[in-house]
Amino acid sequence: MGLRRWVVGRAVRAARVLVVECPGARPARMAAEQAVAARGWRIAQTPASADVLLVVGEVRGGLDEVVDRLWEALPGPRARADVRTEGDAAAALARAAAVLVDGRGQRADAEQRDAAGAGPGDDTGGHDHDDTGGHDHDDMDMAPDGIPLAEGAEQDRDGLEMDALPVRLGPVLPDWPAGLVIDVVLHGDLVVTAAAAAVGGPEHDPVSEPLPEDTATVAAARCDDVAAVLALAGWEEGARAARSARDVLLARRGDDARATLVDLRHRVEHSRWLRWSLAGTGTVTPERARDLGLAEDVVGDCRDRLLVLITRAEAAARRYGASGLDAPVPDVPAVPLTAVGPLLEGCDLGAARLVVASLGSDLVPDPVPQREAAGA
Amino acid sequence: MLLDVAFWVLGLVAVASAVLVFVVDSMARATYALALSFVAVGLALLLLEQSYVGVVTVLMMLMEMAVMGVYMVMYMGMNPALMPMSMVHDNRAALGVSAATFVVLAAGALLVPWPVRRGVPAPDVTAALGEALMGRQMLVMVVVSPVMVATIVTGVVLAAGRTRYDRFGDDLDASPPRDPHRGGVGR
Amino acid sequence: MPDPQPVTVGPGGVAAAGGILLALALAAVVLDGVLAARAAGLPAGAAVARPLDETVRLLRQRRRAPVSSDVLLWRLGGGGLVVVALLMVAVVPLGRWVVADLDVGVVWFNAMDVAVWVLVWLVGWGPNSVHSLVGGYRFLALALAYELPLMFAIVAPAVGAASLRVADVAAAQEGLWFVVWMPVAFVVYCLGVLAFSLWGPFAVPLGRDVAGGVLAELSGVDRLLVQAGRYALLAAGAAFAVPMFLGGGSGPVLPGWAWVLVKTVLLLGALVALRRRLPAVRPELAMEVGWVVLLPAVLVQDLVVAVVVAARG
Repeated sequence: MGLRRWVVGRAVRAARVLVVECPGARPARMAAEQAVAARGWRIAQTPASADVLLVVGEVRGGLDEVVDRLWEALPGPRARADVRTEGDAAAALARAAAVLVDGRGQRADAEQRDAAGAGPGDDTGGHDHDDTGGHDHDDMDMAPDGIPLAEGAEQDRDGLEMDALPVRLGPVLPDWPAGLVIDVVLHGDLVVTAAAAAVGGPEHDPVSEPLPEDTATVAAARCDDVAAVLALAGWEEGARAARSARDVLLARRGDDARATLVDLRHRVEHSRWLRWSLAGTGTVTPERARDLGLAEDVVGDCRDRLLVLITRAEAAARRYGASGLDAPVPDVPAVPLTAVGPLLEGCDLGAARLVVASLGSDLVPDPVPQREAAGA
Repeated sequence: MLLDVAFWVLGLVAVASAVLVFVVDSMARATYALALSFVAVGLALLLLEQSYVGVVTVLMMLMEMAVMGVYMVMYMGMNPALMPMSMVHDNRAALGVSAATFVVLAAGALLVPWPVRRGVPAPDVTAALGEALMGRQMLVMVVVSPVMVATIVTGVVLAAGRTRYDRFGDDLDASPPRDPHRGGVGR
Repeated sequence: MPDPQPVTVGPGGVAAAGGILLALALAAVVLDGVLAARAAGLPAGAAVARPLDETVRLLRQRRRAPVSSDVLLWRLGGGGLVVVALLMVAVVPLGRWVVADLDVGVVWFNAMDVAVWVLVWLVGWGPNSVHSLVGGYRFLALALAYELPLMFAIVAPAVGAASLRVADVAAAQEGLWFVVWMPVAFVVYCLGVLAFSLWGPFAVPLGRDVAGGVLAELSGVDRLLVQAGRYALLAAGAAFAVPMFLGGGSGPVLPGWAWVLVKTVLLLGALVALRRRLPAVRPELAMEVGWVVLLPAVLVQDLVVAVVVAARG
């Protein structure tokens, strides 16, 4: 018994958490990530590697179905935690830890899943999976296990047949704006068409609801945007620096954040490797920006937009540091969702992820003009 | 004794996995069954103390099968739903051809009067093999290699959908070239 | 002084070699964790127990199989990585001892690193998942870029020593290590090791931008094996560099086997430390660099080595 408890304790100490951020729950999500780190736990990239499903914010719209499918995709032992506000996370994670440690409960859960035939399946949901290693392929239908085969396309850059594959990106991916889904058609890993939409938000509101007036939180969110781009670019050191700036802002230490951001900007500007890695990724010309109704500062490639994001983070942090909590944060031109899809066409999947992150998280479903007129 | 057993086991694995190529119903499995067959042959060659030939067989065949798997998936469009698919076509003709080939090869192996070994193997068979291949035929090798490279390049150029005029413009002076993707050197 | 005729070890020695490789891989995990903790300003102590916790966690976690996955090929691919790493170090002499004194050990190492192509692609293909499959293809795209430069990089020491036997290559570096006069080959070799270990800037097949890529669907012991395989491959790559470029067991005071281990640990540490510092090499950029920059550079290196060897007679 002692050994088993020791083993379980060890295992739970290294637990990984899949965070589902509902639209509008950004501050709570950032606080939850801090709480995860404070426990010594880590963030999981996919449900397959997660032990805890942490749902942050209010589940609305189509998101409840997504959350259910993710829950089914957790291999188990598994625990689910729901967090509404910034302060809740630590307690919710403690409860999740208790659920993970409870061996009897986990066994019951596993038996119940096996009995239901669901097992730890995948997140496409709704299908029975084949756990035997062999396949019974008597039926030669064109949709094995209910998944239709890829089809051909008229305009195909590589000229191959049967490789147009419709895939939905989001709403839960690492470093991905909350509530965003993009329906893409892939040829291999090439995005051919893309259409962005919002799920899980209130009908009339932006994908990401306006951030609260709290200047420090806004500045932290801007740092979070920077961290997302750097993490997707595979630069752990840079992403960690941006996150640490975020965390000190959340801890209301603006000066430290400014120093970190100045240092980060210097490193980003002078990193030849990053320049080489991102150069020409998702380039937007001024004409294209105008056609899509985008502000001038999206012009350039992902690295240019990354520098814009750092500038915004710096500005927000400076405003916070200079005049305390009351100062208004400099406004950021929002990106209409309708413009996101066209920017991704012709990118490969990884580049498309970078482009989405480089646009920041101020995405709105409607074209910008009305919003700008309203002064939002 | 142990080596004999290993040799026969490898031979059986080679034959069995070669049969599997036609039995399995997935292109990925067929490809890697073939790879396994070649690896078994390569390891059998190692046991024959033809180290270089054996290891190079393993190396080349793994690489080729990895690339072949990609081509098969690319042209047949099996991504990512694993559509079952028969790995045999035109069965009657194929059976005839393979039976005839087997008979010819087996008859050759059994009926040819193999020469008796004279002398002893060279102490370093790899070097001896290199000498035999390259020694007197060096000129041939030197000529054949560039011709093969030229053939490959020509084949790729002829097969490519886009020419240098598409890339560099009618006067070949566009810089950087118009490619769907920038290359790593920034050309 | 390395013995040109190393002793082939028995079954006990084989087990010891496996144990040493896994210990090196574990050391790499711990070092990576300590570096991460230090970068984040956390106490490094927790990082030491971390690999144990993570291992226990993954052993406790259930395996899963997505819809329509090819479970057999998927798991073969995942389990094979550690095996390939063990087969790589089989030809690396540790002082006087070696597991397999193959007269074409250099080519053997090369064949094993090509086996990684197959395995990683299978890990990507098996689970029938978009991100995973993209990860698998990304690895092959990288492989086509790094493999030929890597091959020609390990040709240089073989030509310098006029032998394909690893022990002979080590013995040929009496007085002057190959890394000194074959620096280009050494750098290209290290890039190749990073690439076939899916490490650092070459970790794009499991990149965050493809939601974990080949790792996306892995859980439980399957995930543990793939991750262990990556570290083991990195350790095996560092170990093979020692007889090829770093003089094998030669060095003052300590016995040969100790020097091999010391050099391996140092190179492994350097490779691990590189991980966080550099952004990813986007796979679409790698091909041109591999073939337009690295391949010619390493061919010139081979030419220089060949001319020097011919001039010496």
